[in-house]
Amino acid sequence: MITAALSSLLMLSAANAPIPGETAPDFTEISASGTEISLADFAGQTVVLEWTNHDCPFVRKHYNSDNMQGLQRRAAAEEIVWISVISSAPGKQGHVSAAEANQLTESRGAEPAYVLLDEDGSMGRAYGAKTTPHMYIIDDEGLLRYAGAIDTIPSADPADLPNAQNYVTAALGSMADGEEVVTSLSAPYGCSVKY
Amino acid sequence: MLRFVLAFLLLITPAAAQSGAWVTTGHAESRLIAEKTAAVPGETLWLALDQQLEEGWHVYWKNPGDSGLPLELSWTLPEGFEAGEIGYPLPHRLPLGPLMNFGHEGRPLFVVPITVPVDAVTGQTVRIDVFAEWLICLDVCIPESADLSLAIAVAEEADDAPRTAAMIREARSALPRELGLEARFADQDGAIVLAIEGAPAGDAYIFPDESGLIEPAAAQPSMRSDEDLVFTLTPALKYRAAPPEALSGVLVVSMQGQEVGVLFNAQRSDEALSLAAVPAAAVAEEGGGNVVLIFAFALLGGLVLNAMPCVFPIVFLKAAGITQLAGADRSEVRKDAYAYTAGVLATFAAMAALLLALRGLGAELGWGFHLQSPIAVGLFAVIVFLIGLNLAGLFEVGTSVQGAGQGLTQKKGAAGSFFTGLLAVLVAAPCIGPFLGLPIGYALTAPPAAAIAVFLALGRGLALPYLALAAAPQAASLLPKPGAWMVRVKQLFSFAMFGTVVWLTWVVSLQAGPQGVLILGIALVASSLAAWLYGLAQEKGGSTLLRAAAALAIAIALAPLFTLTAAPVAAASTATEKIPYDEAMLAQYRAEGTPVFIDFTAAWCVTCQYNKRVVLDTEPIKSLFAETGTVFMVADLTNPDPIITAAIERQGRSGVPLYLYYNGEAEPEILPQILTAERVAQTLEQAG
Repeated sequence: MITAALSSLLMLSAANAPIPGETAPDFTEISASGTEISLADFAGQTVVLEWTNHDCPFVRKHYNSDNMQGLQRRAAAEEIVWISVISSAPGKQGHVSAAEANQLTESRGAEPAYVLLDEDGSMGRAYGAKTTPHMYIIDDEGLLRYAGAIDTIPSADPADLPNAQNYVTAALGSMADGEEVVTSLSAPYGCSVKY
Repeated sequence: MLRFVLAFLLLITPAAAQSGAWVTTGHAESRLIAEKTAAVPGETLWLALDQQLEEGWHVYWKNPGDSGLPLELSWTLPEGFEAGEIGYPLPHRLPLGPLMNFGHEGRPLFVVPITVPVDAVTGQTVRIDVFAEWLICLDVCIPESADLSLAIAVAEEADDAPRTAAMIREARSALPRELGLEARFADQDGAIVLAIEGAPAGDAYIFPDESGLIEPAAAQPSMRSDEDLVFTLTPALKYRAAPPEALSGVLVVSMQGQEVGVLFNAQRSDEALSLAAVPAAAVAEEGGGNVVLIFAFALLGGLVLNAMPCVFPIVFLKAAGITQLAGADRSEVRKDAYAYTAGVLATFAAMAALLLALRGLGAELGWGFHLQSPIAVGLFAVIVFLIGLNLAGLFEVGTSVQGAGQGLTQKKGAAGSFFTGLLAVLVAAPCIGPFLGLPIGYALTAPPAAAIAVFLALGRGLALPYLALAAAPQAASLLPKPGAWMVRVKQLFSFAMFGTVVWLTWVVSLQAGPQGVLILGIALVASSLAAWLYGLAQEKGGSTLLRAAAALAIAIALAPLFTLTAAPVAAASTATEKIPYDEAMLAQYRAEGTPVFIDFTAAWCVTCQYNKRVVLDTEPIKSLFAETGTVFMVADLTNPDPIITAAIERQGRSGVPLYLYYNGEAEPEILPQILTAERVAQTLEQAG
């Protein structure tokens, strides 16, 4: 009964997902390198969460154009912890083993600090992640500062990238300057997360 | 290349076509069609994107829901021509796991009005080009696009185009209509209450224009209240971050298999759209429709509470008290009954006031909320344990007691009876017995004064049997003469208290885990030590030292209880085929017509546990669930859960147990609070 109660909390949390300004929910997931990663590990650091699914055309738009990798490199340089999260359930599109996840990271030249394998979707549900990509930024005090789309033009067409304004870049810039994030919430676009 | 081919085709068919060529993309075929044979200067020409989607695949409405993208059309039009907004077909709900999309399957027709300029030159044929982009999904998604084209004559007069005119007209007539409905909304208990006046009757669903305002996957319970159709909607992130002043969208109602879309534009209402109307409607259904009935139910429900499993321990305690009245004079019997009643009423009033105040502050709490705190449950366990020890004779209560032996003739004081009344309410509170769902549901939404009046009526019902004793105190003389039997009965009833302690310990184990049980166990031992020391002090004629030691022991007993925190632990689930309450899945099952049984329960609700053991978890009922393909959902309120609380309130109820059965109907069947195997079987077999 308690497991039922617990999982009911998990199932229902989409409607309780945090809004910017609220404390980001803690999580503990296995990373592709086999270690257990918790949000609590990064107290005092800015954390970016990127929900991903390598077969989703919207994700491919940002990886094939090196747009996502560029953001990851910049984050690494600024000691921002970039975490890619795969919430695809086993058997669903985008689900990968740890080895496959590492292979994807290498082949795409991606540079996330960690790739988390959220097979049961608990982390995705806790954050209310709906699409791939769906981006979140958590500040050094554990508060959610941004949730939403990666940029302003919802499309799967890489040709739109030059005209789009990147919400994550803008938010990280404001945070680095100690200012309020101008757009802290936007409608995410992309494929549905394959829970 | 495509453009070239199309242009070529147009060249060899120079006559205006009213429908462009089909273009095949991965999972769809698309073309552009016109309603009329010609564009008439100064008039509107209706065009449509006609799509034939591959079976099972869907495209998206203007608000795609949790994911997806709406259609985008980029027009290349002759000089002066202007394209209007896309008219989407009525959206459908497309559930995908825990997510929900709004979109279209099969053969959607997206209509667009084209304004033809007054000075358009007649006698010529013009080309209309559109670059259409859409996202098409099964569970995987593929962006598709096509260049579509149409050649149409410009003429003074136009006829209906064969076939396509009828298609476009049908699509236009199916567009959501502006009926000028009055709509307003307000926030209530974390939900959006949307009232649409004069909405058509039928199975209704709200599709908001804008994404991020209403949680797409959440169920949308609705009920009719006078002229209004009232929805309870779940706010999504954007709404929670910045509650909007207006909420617009399409209300889709299905009537006799026909779907009708109606536009609404709701303004935020200053006054709360109290759902008081809801229980009122529920009352009307049950027959009475007036406040008198609510009070009658409260009184009757309170009376029946005495026979509910959860109140048993207190009934024993009260019975123990009554036996002590043997040989008492009438005034004493009366005093005792009044004190008990006062205890019941004062506690009901205090708890109701506290509950209403907390709810006023926005807490999602229902009746019985105090048992959601392991600290309260732990304290409760200690108190009940001490009462048990008192009944067993370890110590006496009262200041005038000089020796345990005198307890024989020592009448329980009025204070003791008052306290018993208090305890009765605390124990009874988590129970919703027969008849009580309605009055308590009403009380939680009624104005505070009315609410407290309802609770007081309930308390009067609970105290009624003892009040009757006050009215006829001579009944007490039916008891045997005072004697040693009074002590024995008290000792016997102490076991009912110890049984209650076992139950409360189990509740703590579910709320706070093994650590919680350890802390409670220590508290129980320390409190029994305190009771023993206190008893010794009484024997020794009030030794100050012993009393101080007893006080210290009770402090040791209680202090660690306050460290109890709700830390749900993973325990092996013994239940088979039960799934946790999930509104998205519920909506999906309901849409599919799968029967669903929902068990709103909590570990601290003894009646719930009784129903579970005696009916729901028995083999015949379990196999009946399997045979009828009924989904068994468990909504567990052991720890606070605003979503489950809201779901209970939507039924006009406020606490557990609550049993709902959905089977194709818009409104669920509500089963009684005390289940019987026959009753459950009768309900389940509807689906057989």
